[in-house]
Amino acid sequence: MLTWLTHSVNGLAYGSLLFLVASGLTITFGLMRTVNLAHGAFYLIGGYLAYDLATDGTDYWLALLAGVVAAAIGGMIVERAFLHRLAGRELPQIVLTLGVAYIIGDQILANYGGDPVAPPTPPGLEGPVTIGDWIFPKFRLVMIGVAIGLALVVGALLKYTPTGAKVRAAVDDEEIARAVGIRVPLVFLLVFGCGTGLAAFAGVWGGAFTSLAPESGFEVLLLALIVVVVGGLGSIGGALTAAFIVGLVDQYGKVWFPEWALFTLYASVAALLAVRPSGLFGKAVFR
Amino acid sequence: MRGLSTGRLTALAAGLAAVAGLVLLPFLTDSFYTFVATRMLLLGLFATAYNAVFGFGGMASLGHAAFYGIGGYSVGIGVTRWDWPPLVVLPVAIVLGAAAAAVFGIMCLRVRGIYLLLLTLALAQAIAGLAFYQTEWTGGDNGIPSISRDGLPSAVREGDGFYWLSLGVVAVCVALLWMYQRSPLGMSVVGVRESEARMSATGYRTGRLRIIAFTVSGAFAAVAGVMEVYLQGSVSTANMHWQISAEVLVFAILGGARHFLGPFLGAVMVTGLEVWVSTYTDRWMTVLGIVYIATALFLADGVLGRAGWAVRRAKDLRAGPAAAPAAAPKDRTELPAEAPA
Amino acid sequence: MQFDMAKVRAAAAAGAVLLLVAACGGKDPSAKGAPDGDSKATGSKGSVTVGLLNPATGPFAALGTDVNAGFEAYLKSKGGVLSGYAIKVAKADEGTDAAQGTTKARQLVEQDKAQIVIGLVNSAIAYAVAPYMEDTAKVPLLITVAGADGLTRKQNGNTFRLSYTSSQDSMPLGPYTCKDMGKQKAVVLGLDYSFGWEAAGGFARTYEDAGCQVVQEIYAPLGTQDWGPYVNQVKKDADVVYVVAPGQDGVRLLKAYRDFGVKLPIVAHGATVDETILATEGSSADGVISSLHYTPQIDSPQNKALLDAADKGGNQYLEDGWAAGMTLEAALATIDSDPTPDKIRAALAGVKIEAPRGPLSFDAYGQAVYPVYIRKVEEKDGKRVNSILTSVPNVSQFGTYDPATYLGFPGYEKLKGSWSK
Repeated sequence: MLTWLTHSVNGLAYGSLLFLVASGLTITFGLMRTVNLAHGAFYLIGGYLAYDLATDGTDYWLALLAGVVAAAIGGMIVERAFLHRLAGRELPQIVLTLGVAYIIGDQILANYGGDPVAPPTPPGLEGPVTIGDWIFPKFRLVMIGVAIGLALVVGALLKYTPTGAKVRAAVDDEEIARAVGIRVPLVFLLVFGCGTGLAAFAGVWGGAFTSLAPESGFEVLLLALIVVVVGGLGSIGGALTAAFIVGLVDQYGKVWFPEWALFTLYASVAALLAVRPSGLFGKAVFR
Repeated sequence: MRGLSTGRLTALAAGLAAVAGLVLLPFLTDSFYTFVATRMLLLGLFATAYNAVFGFGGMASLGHAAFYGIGGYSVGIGVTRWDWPPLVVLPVAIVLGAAAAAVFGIMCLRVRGIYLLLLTLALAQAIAGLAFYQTEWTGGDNGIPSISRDGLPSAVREGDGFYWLSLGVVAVCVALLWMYQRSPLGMSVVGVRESEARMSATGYRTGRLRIIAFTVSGAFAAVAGVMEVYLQGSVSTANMHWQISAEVLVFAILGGARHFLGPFLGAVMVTGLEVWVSTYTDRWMTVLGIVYIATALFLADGVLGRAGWAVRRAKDLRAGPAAAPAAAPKDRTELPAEAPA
Repeated sequence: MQFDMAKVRAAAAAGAVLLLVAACGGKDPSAKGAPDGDSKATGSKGSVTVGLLNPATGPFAALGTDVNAGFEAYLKSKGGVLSGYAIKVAKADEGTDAAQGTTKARQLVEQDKAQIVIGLVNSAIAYAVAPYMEDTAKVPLLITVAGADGLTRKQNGNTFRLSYTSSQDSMPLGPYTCKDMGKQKAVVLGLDYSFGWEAAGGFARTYEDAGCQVVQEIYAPLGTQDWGPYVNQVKKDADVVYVVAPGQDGVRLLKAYRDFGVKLPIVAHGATVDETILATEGSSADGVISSLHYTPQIDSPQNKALLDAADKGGNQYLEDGWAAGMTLEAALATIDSDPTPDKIRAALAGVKIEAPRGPLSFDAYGQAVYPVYIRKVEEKDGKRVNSILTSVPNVSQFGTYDPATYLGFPGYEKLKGSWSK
């Protein structure tokens, strides 16, 4: 009984980690329709920078902030310098962001070496909690709450604030948005920066969960892509739901038939996409 | 019959020179470059096969590593388990590659654009997952080592001989792909790329055409995978890695996906660059990344697309200043896969 | 003609990126590509070209960098001359797949004219390179990390290996856990790929032959992000858990193990807690007992020389590279002139050296025979180290079994899952 509780809660916790990674991608990819294969690279930038600063004695939260800000700025540079020129053209976006990911990954390898590192667990969240006979890591429980909170905040920002309205307008019809005075390039720039900043936040927290190496960027990227697509592009709630589903499927898949772990995950995603290309909660088919 | 203009004669002469150069290459260079050239030929075939779906079919697949790997594992499993000769391995690989590709095509009937990309990626990852875990058959991550070339005639088993064998196989396959692309069938696939609605309205079964494009592409991708594994003597999950799918996409874009030989050129360029740069620096991934970025920004219609534009512009200039200036290559050149669905 | 401002801007941006890359590229000393060793050095007997083929990119880059650093540190300590031969080093990136690995192996042999190739981390690549070296190039191959058992199964071949076969270092741990520690029931928790099965198999075979019982086997995919589902399945009534998970997987496994409050003691393959990840693992590695052919804690002049020369502290990969230098030196000492690949091959077979790890020689199959240390993770001067509990001398790839009997056993990939039955 307790075992199943542990498995289920842990599946949700892992799903929460996936959502943290995917949250930035739902904004840049789901909303802005910009394919960013360098998302995992910004995850690494956040994680490595926070690790670097925190091990040098910087306050944890300051290190976290520095990682997020650095990745946000880096993301905005990539958007402004390159990506905005490729608006609406997915293939060059893919090639370009893959190139950016290669460069960032390779430079991290050159500067930090390939041995795995881990940013610290947030202070106060180390170790397990014990409720009766039930033992569960504190950090993972908090992660579930953070994921849900983040989904609510991002969703509300987009839905109820004027800025959110501008973003939605800019995405829906760029020309009309420009005509009514919205500075669309600026909006896109900021939105993209938020996306990469979220990736960096996920890198700091996820790095504490799974540790970081220059390859982690791509491992994380594939799972985050799945979550975003299964949830339906642009749907924050969909991404959260999809993340929980993928987390639970992954968890129980590993418990019940470990040798088919990779196959079951990807094959079920493929089957879903073949039947429902727009994902679980997606609206219109993209292009 | 059209007569031979001077332009055609030049092209013919250049073609003949290229063929002679390819055939004589082992005499012109050392064994290492012959080996690299063999790899370039095989990757070039892979890229040309890929383009049947991508450039000509208008479908950006990110799952072609699956067919390439299926070809590779056909050799590994067939040779090490049952001592299959190449003349058995090859047809089996072609059938398996084509069948898998047909399944991909069927699964992708309802999706377009980025969704097709992600769906093919997921399918290929599922197959790679099988290769990783069905160790009884695939040897898992260590793969299948020591795959013998004994079934091949001894004259083409090693070094230069194997290069000529690859050259022959690649030439035949590329010629077949060319014929397919020029056939009414291949042309109607291009028609689907240009306007699926119109093709459908004129009575073509567009879904079937899309599946055919995948099948043809998968079959030839498997041939490339077969030859590559004969060359390396081993096959592992690396032959199915998704970055191979991404790389072949870049080959096609860089070389020029609208041109039949563009992807081949792209494969030769990227492979050559990798070998060359990695001789001088360990940071060759960074250089590769820069090449990718430059490709996306400046070469969206590929090297051949750019070259074609330059030739046209030169002609216009020669025609005199009165002639309208050549339109700059549209920075937003439409890539094939983005043709309206 | 008019300037296209957008294009100029993009070109400027691309240029800026290039500069940025150039600016941060130089931090790692190994990043400057393939140097030619100490070109000033001249040898009294001539020169030998050594091909170093280790990964500089991909998941194993750190290991490859360490092996290269170990070899080059030894070479430097000898002024670039080994046994009278000036050593020219040609370095190439093994990469992440067989295509690149074999391309670079050929480049080293056919262009750089390497007379011996040292390196290889990835077993799949080693499997592709070894036949080329044996049949086509006829140049000896000295493997420094790749662990697949099957690589050294041929007598009198030209493949030699200084590092462990995947099962070799775990074999002494079986009897130690069963008899010395008195733990009767073990759970095997490892990675689901060749290295994992072979390492776990080496432990399980010797453990059960010592009279104890493996009661459960759990294998997780390579690159498992979350070990929660696996550590939660560990049977609570077992006495000990045998763990094999090198690199990042080891970090994640131990963290999940402690986070979920699993109380059973851990014995492990040494790569699970080696010095490349020990600092990152931190307190989660405390108390782990493991077996490996090296620990920087070895107290010997040979090891001290290594530790003095390597500025980042020792680890098994640095030692592998360093020992490769010693091995080459010992082999060249028996060659008076004209060190052809064939002569080097013959000389390697007879090498006996006193490496940092201890006495080392090769068996008839080219696999190193050396002592294995049973170590325990402890805190020492504020740093975690693998202290030596005991050592087992002359461990071969066949453990204490007769080679013919051992080679008759089914492969570990077939035995996986059968130990607990």
